[in-house]
Amino acid sequence: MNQVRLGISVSLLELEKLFESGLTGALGRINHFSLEFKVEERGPFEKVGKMARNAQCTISLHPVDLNLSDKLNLDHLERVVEIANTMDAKYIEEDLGIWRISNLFMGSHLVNPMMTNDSIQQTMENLLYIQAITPISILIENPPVYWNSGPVEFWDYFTEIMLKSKANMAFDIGHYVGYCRSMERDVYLPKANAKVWDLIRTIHLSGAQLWEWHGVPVWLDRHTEPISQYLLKIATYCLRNASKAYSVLLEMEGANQATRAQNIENVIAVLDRNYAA
Amino acid sequence: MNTDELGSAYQEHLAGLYPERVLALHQMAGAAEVDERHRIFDVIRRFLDMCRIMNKTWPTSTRFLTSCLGDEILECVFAGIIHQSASHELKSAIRQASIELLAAQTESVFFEVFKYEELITKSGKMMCLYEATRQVDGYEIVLICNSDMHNLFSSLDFYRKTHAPTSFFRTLQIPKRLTYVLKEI
Repeated sequence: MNQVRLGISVSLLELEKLFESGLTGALGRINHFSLEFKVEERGPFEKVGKMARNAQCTISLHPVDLNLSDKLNLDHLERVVEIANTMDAKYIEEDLGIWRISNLFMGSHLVNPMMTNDSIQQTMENLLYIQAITPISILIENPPVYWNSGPVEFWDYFTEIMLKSKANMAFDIGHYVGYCRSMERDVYLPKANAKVWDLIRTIHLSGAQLWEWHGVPVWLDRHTEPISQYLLKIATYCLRNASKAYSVLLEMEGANQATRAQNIENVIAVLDRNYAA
Repeated sequence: MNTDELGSAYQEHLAGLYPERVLALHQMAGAAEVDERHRIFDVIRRFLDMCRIMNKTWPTSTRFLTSCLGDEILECVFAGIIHQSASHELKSAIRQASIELLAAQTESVFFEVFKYEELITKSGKMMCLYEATRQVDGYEIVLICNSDMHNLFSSLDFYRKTHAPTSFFRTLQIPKRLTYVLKEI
């Protein structure tokens, strides 16, 4: 039986409340949490870390603060590492691209990475630096991309960065489907024996809206929406191949209770089918 | 420019994502090359996000502003967002870009209307004494007004809630009795 954990993304205060009220109902199968926070945030990180350990749950950090594709802010990095140590985080996961301009947090205006050889080099140097100062694993996530910003192909770009830096990947299926739409191409997934599958440590799933705008296929990441059967089918294939995956993460911020419960049930069905003895 | 801490590639990248002529860009989207259409989509996505935040934050003032000055004024705010890097949140950056842009128009009442709407949103009272300060050309301007701003704002709110055509906003009488006190800084 595979030990892939089922996770959801949460804020610190949400997670504290969840542990206080108990993981019941659909949440009963959740045993991993990806914590979204910003470096200025102050709160009960240590307490929540202990609560997670007591509940036999693990935590990863999604700081949404680090510009892995450009110059790293070392103060921000130091704070992220400090929180990771405090909470005994399993890994740090971060989208490539630009999250911050000075103090300004870009949020949904995250700037996609330039997919060029220079960018590969810069990202690799940043990742090597991070790994030199902390033993905690760093995972790079493919960010939401709405248009082509460089000549390097998606899988070549991520594989090369990971092989050069020994970092791993948080593969976001919705972001990848969106990327393919932005490139006007079918969704291509590497073959089962491709090296990249061994580098993927977590798979992210969320809802998305797909439509045509001025004659071109576009999309938006929608954490409030149900995860479609189409995305679940892709998740099934990914989980079969990513044999070293630690978790599958559902991103559902803002979704209503019914959608959340349905998403969890659907993904549990995928996991049970994939890993049935 | 506050994007200096980024590498030159990303500075250029950002300038393309927050252009000054968004409306013209949108109009030409259908005729653009396919790759360019995808880039325009990302620009429009960001622009609409800013419009959504402005309309939610100042539902009355934003309507007044665009009715009098045209939608083009929103483009200036949009292009100014990325220069507001002292802010922590995008919403604050949009707020600051809006206020700065309007404060630069020293003859206009738009700045006061924005500030007044913020004030009553915070206080929850429609009728309140309004006082605000701003700095222009080495002077601190203290603006004090009472019933005039309230009258103007009530009319604006009435027009907005009844979906009045933009021409109605332009015919409003701007208060004459605003009191300015200038102090040299």
